[in-house]
Amino acid sequence: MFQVFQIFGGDATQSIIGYIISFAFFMIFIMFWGKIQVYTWLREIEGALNRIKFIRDEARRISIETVKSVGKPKEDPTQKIDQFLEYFFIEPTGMDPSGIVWKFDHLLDVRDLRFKDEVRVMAPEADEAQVNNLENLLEASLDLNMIYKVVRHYYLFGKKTSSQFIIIQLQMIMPLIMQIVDAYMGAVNAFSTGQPIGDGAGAFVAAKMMHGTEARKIAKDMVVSEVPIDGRRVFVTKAEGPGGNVGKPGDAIKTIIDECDGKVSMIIMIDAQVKLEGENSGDTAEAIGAAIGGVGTEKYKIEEALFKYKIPVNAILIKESIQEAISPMKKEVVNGVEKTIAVVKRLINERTKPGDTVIVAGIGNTIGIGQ
Amino acid sequence: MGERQRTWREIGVSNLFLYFIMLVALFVLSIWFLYVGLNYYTRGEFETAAMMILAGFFGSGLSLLVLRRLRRRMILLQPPVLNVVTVEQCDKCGFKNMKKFEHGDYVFKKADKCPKCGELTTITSIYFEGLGKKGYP
Repeated sequence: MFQVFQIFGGDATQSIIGYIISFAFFMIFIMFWGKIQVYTWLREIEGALNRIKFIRDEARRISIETVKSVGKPKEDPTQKIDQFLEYFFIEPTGMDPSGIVWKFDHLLDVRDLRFKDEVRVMAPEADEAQVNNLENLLEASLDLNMIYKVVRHYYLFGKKTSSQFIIIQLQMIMPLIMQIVDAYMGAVNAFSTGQPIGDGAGAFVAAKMMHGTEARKIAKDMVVSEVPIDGRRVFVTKAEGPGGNVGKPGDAIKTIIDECDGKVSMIIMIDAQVKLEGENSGDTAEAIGAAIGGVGTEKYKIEEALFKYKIPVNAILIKESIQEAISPMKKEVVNGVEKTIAVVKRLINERTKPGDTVIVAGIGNTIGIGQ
Repeated sequence: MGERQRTWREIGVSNLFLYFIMLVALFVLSIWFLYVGLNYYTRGEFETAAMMILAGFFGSGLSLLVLRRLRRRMILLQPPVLNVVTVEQCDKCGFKNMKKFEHGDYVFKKADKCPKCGELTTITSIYFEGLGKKGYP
């Protein structure tokens, strides 16, 4: 049995056989190295794809169970949920960019209304906050489904065409995709139970500032409170909680400015910011400009109003990773919220006079955060 | 439950089990190679012993490495266990209580009665403290 190990050190014939075998191995590696490499990459992608599929299926299962337990539907919602997970958004054409913001805004409103109507049909017993949470949950599951389908498409396409360029690109970005997928799974858990997420840091700051005062509706899914701080009139606005909601901060800020006839001394916007590697979660940074993410429609509305009345805008950003932004809020981010309130008060004292009017806007998803 | 079983089958758990058995078999075989190699060494057959010991080391190293990767893969497939806590605070006496997050909790919700003064407490914070034993990174 062990003679096979002796062929390299035996008599002349055995040595020749050894050389031939070594040479054959060498030639096989030279000729098929590319194929072996592609096979290895494909195996790695396949493993990651299996994991994405598992997570997507878990998200779907959690969505179905949550809709059943919260909404108490008379019929099984599985078919409706499966149909929901296939929805996608068609962006307006950019061929004539003039007026595209309002087209986007309209389509996003239609999408929001449609999604909420679908959820109300699936979960007839759910209240308004629960409808918002369920909509967020289903959107997270929808995104996971989309990620799985896109990755699967490039994997199968790369395999079919044996294109090294498609396969290596997919293999190289897989760690980033897996981070996003893990973050979405965190979001699914948070949305199914109504826990605050990292993105809600800005809304949390606003909620803490307006707590104990009378809040009124100012725009779609937005509330505002008037809070006196060191002799200044401070309007604090955020999305209406505790349901999962980002609201329309652009409309809210514009309405407050119009109510004050443009006499606003400063706007402070607070939002979560994706940190760079090496930075600490919960650290704050100050900035100039409208701090708000999303498609850009709300940012456009805010900048238009600011430009019209020449109002200075300051921003405070709470740092966190992309995963932390859509996963349950971490303790470090909560500590950052406390620090941010102090920074807001310092900015108001430093940059305005008693009697001035200031707007403080807490941006982000207000899931699990009341007011 | 049926749903969960189907999911595990879909991700190829049976294949993973076969893979695991093969790796364990490779490890056992490698250890046996090492043992036989040492026997050859004591008998003075250094060339064969070197080959056997080399094969034993290579096989056991490879199987341990792949088993470690397989274990990591299995851990990553576990559903996440998140420790989320709710902080309740009494507005009157400042009493603070931390408890496990419950469905329906939200920040600024009026919560349980304060055990010290009997006033209703308010939820002041909800945050994620860390992962349980198994979970996503």
